[in-house]
Amino acid sequence: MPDSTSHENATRLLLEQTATVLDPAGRKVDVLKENPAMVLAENLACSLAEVYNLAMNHGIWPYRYIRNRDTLDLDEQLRLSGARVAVIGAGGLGGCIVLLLARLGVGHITIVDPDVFDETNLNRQALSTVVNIGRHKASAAMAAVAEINPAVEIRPLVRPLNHVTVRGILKGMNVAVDALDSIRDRMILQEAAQKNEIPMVHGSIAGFVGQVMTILPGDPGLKNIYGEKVHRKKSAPRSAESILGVPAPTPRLIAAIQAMEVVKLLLNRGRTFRNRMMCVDLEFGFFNEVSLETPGSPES
Amino acid sequence: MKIQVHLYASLTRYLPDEIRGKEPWIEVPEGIAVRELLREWNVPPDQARLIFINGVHAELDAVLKAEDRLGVFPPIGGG
Repeated sequence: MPDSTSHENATRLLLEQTATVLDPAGRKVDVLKENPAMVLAENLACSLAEVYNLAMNHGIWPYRYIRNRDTLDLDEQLRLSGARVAVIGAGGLGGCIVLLLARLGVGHITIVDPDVFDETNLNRQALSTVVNIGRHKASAAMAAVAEINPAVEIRPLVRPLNHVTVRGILKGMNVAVDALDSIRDRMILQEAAQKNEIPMVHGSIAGFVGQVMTILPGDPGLKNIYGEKVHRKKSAPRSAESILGVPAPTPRLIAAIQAMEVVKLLLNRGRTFRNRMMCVDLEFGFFNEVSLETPGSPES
Repeated sequence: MKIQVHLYASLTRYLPDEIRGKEPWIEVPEGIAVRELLREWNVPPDQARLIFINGVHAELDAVLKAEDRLGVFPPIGGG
C-alpha cells in the first residue's frame, strides 16, 4: 500500500476510477469495478485487495460485492476482507466452503489437504473435475479461488493434519473450519483450536445426513458428539460414511451452513450453532436443532 | 403407546421393515427405555452415539413416553 506521502495521490486515482451506478433497488452507489481496480493496483504497485480496501475505506463499493448490500454493509465487507480463516480438508465440504468464502470476500484463506483428486471424488467434491484427477486438492482450490476472486489471498498447504502441523496451520487464524474426513483428525483440530483460543466450525456428513456445530474455546464440543475416547484409526470400515458414501447434495448444504457460521463468527452477528447441533436428513426433510448443553432425561 | 422414531444415516437399516422409509410412528411397550428398544432392533450400542428425545440430548437409559420423538444418530465423520 502507498505510504502517507503518496496516499493523497492514491485517493485521487481511486476517485478517478470510481463510477456511480444504480443498484437493483434504484439507489445510487459509488462503485469500483474490477478492471479499473486492477489497473489501479498496477499503477500503485499494490494488490487488488489493497485497492478494494482503500475503496471501501472511502465508502466506495467494490462492484463485485454490490449484491451483498444491504445484507452485509461496507464495514462488514471490509472486516471480511481482513479476516483469516483456515479450512482443513478440501474435499466435499472444504472445496465448497472455500468457494463460498472467496465469493463472500473473506480476505485470507488457508486450505489444507494432503490428497490428490481421484475419480471417486467426482460424485460430490466441488473442485474435482475430469482434468483435475491426480492434482492436489489444495492447489486446485487455489486455482479456483484465483478465478473467482483475485482479491482473496489463498494459502494452499499440501500436508496432513497432525499434532505438529496443526500449530503452523492455525497460527494467526480467526476461525478454523472442520472439513475433515475422520473423527480422529477432528479431535486433533478441536484441541488445537481451543489451545489457540479460536472458534472452530464443525461439519460432518454421511449419506444424506449431515451435522454442523460451532465450538468456542472452553466448550465440550466434539466430546459431546463423539465421546471422550479418541478414535485411533483414521477411518473405520464400519463408519456411517464408509457404509453409505456421500452423494453430492449433502456436502453442498452442510458446507453452506458452515460458511454462514464463519460469517456470523467473523462479524459477530446473528446466532451460531454453539452448544447446539444442526442435524439434517435431506432424504426425509428433517432439519433438527438439538441442544447439547445439558445431557439429561427428556423431562429435564 | 406410540412414539415417533428416526434412526439416521447408517442406522436406518436397523429399523423394522414396516416403518423403514415410511411413517415414523411406531407402537412400543409402555415405559420402555431407549436402550431396550435399540437392543430389540439389534442396533450396535457403539453406533447409537447421539440420542435425542423431543430435540433434547438424552442418555441411553432414558425412558420413553407416549408421543415422544426419538432420534438416534451414529457417529458420522465424512467430509
